[in-house]
Amino acid sequence: MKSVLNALLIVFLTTGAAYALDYPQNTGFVTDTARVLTPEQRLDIEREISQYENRTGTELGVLIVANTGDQPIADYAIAVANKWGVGKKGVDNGALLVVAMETHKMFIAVGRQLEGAITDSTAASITRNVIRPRFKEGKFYEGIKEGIVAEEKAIAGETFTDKRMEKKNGGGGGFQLLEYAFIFGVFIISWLAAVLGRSKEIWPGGALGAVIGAGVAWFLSYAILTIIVIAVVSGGAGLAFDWIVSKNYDKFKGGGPMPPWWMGGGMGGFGGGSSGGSGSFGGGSFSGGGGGSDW
Amino acid sequence: MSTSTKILIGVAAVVVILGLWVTGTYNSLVGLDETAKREFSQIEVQYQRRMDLVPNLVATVQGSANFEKSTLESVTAARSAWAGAKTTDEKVTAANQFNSALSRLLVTVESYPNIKSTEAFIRLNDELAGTENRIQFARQKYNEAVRDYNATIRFIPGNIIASMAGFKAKSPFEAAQGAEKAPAVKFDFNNKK
Repeated sequence: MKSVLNALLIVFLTTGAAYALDYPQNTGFVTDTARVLTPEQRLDIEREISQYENRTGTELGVLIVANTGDQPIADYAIAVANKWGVGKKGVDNGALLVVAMETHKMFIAVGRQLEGAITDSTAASITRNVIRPRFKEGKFYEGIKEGIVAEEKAIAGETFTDKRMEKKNGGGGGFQLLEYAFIFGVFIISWLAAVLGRSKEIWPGGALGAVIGAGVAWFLSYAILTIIVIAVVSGGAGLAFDWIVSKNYDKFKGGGPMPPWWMGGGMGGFGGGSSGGSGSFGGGSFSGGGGGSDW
Repeated sequence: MSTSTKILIGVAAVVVILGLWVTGTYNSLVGLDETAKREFSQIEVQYQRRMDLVPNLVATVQGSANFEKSTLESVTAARSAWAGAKTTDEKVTAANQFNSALSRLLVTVESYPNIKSTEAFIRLNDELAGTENRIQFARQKYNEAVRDYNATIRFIPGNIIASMAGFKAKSPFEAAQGAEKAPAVKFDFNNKK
């Protein structure tokens, strides 16, 4: 029950938020869609990042693209980093270096919890003072690798906490009232079914539905037409309800207050939301931190 | 059991169901409203960050002799306007004013190579660019939240509950024309000696 309600709420809240532009798929820690690095160079940087990740849990990513379309590189980098989920979920210890070859721009997007270690100006200074001189010489592999090492140095000594642990104690109370109310409502319906089902006539249900429907419509102070429509619909629903429960009451009676058929299974839990994609990133999130420069 | 009892029970049941429906809709509206408020406070946090850099900026720039006082003053004035802003609309206006005053200041700095080449100014400029990115990000989140909220209070059944409970449409945070560009992009570090 809880998972279903929460899932519905999540769907509700996130609808419309996900108008996705086309961002590249990641191929591990290093993604090179512009084919700037040789396979060996890519593997070497990948290994460096992977070892660092093993040691510290912090995930550093690299993305080399031809261009970032109409988007400023900062927006692009932050969006990709969020989409890939660079960093561990709930810890947000990731950083993504994005290099745009055609526009000669680069940007390091910094995950929430790294923002203290790699401030915006630190990120900008890594791109400007470490990577840029290398890129100017056309040494992209060296520039990127040294940039990664500079990021590692900036992070050195930081420890990260899992924010999910802190969250566990508070929150979550908001849905409980609604859930109890829902359960109570279901109970009322079953009870009503038992009462109405005991009588052979079906008109009380219809009358009931019509009266209540009219009341509802009046309560909402809608037009006469609406009142009639709602009354007719409710009346019909009431008739159908009474008809169904009158017919099936004997079947229900044996098993006590049976849950209505529409409560039955089939509502599987939703997964944990979007995961980090196919690569090895862990689902960290970004809120706009980072810095970059031209070369 | 008499018919009137049945009707009574039925009315009670439907009132409960109706109550649940109203509560559910109302709660989701409150949720969306809170989300939007939270996202707006994120924008405020980032603007505050930006404003907090102003004293540093002023100190860095003032060091240079005969720097135009008026550009500095307009930035500080915009900052106080922000501090005094109460409503969301006032804050949006003040923030946009601040942005344009700041871009004017940064453009002015262009003609002072002795300022713009200092390490202090470069760092400050990076931080300003950083806050601009964060503001941009926060604004995007806020506008998404506002869009969800506004759509919900206009569709059935949200509109019924919204008009009864007094939920008003929110306006998205639009950047003033020309202010959405981070001032930092105007600097070309290629020319740095």
